[in-house]
Amino acid sequence: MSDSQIIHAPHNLKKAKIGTGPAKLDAKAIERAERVVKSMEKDYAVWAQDDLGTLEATFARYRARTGDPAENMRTMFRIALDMKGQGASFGYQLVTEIADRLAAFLENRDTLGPFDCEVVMAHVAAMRAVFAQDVRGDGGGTGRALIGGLHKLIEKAAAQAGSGTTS
Amino acid sequence: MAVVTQSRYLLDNINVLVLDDNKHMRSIVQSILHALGVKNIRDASDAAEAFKELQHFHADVIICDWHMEPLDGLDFVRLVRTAKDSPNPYLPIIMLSGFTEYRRVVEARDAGVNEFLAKPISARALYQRFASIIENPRPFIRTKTYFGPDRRRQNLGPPRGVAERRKGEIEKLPPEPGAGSEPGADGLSQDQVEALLNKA
Repeated sequence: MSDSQIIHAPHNLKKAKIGTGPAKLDAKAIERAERVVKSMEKDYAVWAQDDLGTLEATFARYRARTGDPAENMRTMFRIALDMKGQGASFGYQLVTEIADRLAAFLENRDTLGPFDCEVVMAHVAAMRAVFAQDVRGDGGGTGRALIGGLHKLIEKAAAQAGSGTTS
Repeated sequence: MAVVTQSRYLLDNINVLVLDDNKHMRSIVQSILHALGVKNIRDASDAAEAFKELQHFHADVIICDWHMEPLDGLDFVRLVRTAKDSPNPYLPIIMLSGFTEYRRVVEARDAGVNEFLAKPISARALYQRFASIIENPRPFIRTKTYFGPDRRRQNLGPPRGVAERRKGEIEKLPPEPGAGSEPGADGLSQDQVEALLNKA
């Protein structure tokens, strides 16, 4: 006798389709939704910079050893992950890219050494610059140079961690 | 002469529950859903609140974030699938996540999600996930260690001819520009995520 059971659950979403043949893509609905997202761009730029401010303030608390360091680390990671998850929806691909790298750098990290702190500051400064100059898309050659520079910093931090150097 | 009517999706009569601890993300998702025609939307900022909401809101689809505290998105999916007081263990769940590494997608699949959508999202990508759930209902599998949608949908689907016709029912969407399709530093693109979920 098989250890697995197959259950054909009721398909409640049948009601969401009219007709039985190939479904037509509702291009108008998608365009309408894309316009709605576009209309949120200005709001996004404001709340994203607020998030960045919270990230900076949390980082300052971490460095000043104020509050629970682990909680501060979790907060910084969460903000970076949120910023990664929103930037490109509003045309700020570079913010998504930078925040992605920062989130990966912070994830599962309990503490930050002196050079690690420089890495965090560089990512925050890079995102500040993207908003200050309103850089949309991938930022072209400047964007690639920026990402390349941040990547080198992360590599250097990893190399220092590997060799036991902390500053 | 018979008039052939083009099939289409009608999202205005489905109920959607959005779970995300970030209020801006909830706002983005709800705005997109409204524009796509969904009228009945509830939201929750944590898993416990969402599970409570499900007791009286008859959701047809859940859109759920992964990284939350104290319970994360995977905990919530497991609650919906296996808790004794779950109102509907078969609810379709779309997981939205900034985590897009291979192991994460596999983890989400093994928790019992139906679809996985990488953040940042786009209206088109979200619509596509709804289309997938509507067109491709999957049987559920119960084993000693898993309860959820069939993770081998290619192997346990309907007979080959039917499966091919169903696959063809979803209009092919053009490649996703920008949001939702770009791989992260070490993550999978949305296309890669879908390939993984379909070839498990």
